[in-house]
Amino acid sequence: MKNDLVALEDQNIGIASAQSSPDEPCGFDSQVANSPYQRILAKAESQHRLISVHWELTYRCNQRCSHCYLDVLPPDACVPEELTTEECLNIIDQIADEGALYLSLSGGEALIRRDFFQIAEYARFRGLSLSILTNGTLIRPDTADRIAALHPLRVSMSLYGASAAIHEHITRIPGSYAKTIRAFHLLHERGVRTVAKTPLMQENVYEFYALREQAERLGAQFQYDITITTKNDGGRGPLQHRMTDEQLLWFFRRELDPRPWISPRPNGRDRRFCSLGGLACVIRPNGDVSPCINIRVRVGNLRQASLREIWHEQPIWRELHGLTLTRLPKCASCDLQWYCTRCHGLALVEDGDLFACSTEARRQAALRRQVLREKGVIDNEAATPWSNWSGASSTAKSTCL
Amino acid sequence: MLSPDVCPAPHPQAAGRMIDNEAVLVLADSGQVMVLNETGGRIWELADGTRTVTDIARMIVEEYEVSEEQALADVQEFVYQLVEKQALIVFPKEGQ
Repeated sequence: MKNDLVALEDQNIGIASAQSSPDEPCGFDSQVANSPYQRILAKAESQHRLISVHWELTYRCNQRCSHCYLDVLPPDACVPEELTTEECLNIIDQIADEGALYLSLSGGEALIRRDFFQIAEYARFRGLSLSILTNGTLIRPDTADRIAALHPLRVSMSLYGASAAIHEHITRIPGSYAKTIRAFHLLHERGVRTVAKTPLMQENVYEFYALREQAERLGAQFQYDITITTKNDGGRGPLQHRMTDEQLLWFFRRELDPRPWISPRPNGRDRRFCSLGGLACVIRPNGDVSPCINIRVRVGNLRQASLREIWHEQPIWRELHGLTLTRLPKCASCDLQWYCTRCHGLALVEDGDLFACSTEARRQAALRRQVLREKGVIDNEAATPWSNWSGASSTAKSTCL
Repeated sequence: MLSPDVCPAPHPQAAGRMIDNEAVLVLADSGQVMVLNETGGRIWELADGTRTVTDIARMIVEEYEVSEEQALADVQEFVYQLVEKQALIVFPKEGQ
């Protein structure tokens, strides 16, 4: 009875983590995966098995982050459309019965809900592996005890600066930095695995190294994201915080690891950019179900239909999962395709068309290619980045898969 | 050697699902994922705290072509491995 043990650290299967390692190629096709875990995920994806659910429990929040993609509500707002406790527990039953393994509870600020632990504890009781996304400000010693008792896979907390000045410039709440740092300590002391999540933007990009060191001191994994998205209603306010070209170049020149970008990747027109529509879905506070955080299309509502009906009977999942290069002619002929981390959701919400070029992904790709050229690792004339690089084949598996 | 009279059950840190005859186990505290083959996955499914190792071995005999002796030895060894990895806990059967 042989079994295989592999590290979970770098497995990237959830909606929440789809952009968590943005500086790695999204062109990876799970069909070529070779670890037992990835093989199972690839199979599940091809069978349209629900494995992971990201649940925004509330849009109420006690911070006012300047770049947030949500129009958050005050913590004490009356929100009758939010799912009730009873409805939430019923939905957890449906998620578990569907065979899902991973559940991420997020917000707004999820811990604002008075029934957060009732929901989280029931999810664990139903055998789901739980991740929590929070700003950490509501975590006190007794809260940390309850979180530790849940044995969450990870607690991810937003950390915007290595000092109160920058962090609170973004959260716009005085005192929030100390509270978040306290939460990291409290959870780490209790053996909970924590992640410091940092969207890099104009205000904090030059704090990158200080942030990384801060995360290390806190015993947390450091996860950054170079993409700031529009509001979920298409509002462009957050985009003013995006890194400028100059800042992105500063960052890429220091941090861009060339190896994943010059390693061979599947070159067919059936290439996918992510597992969209295959493994995961997002639930909104009112019970709406969407394909991903950035694609806020309402596929169904859990007050009107079961998760099974929404997941299995709506054709949109297969349509989205079929979004290969064949359906994206502009991408297929684009000279930047091998440097691009195209996100379908970004193309939809920002460029107005699911099939369009994502202009932000293209901007990043152009700067990435520029830096790879500066580093002398790609040939200007080569058809693919790895065509003329002799070491490519020897590192392909370790860097690309 | 693990006693055949103990009942195995999932460790509080573990979460697992059967996916196409294989089990994926997530061990939250260590951040690891285990993949179990079909037989291992079946043992994981049966290890719900209500059955002893002996009970599980009997069910494996009914479902797979294996002798009782071999099944018991395999289940004992397998459960022991999962206890070591903190995927399972074991406790005495109620009343013992």
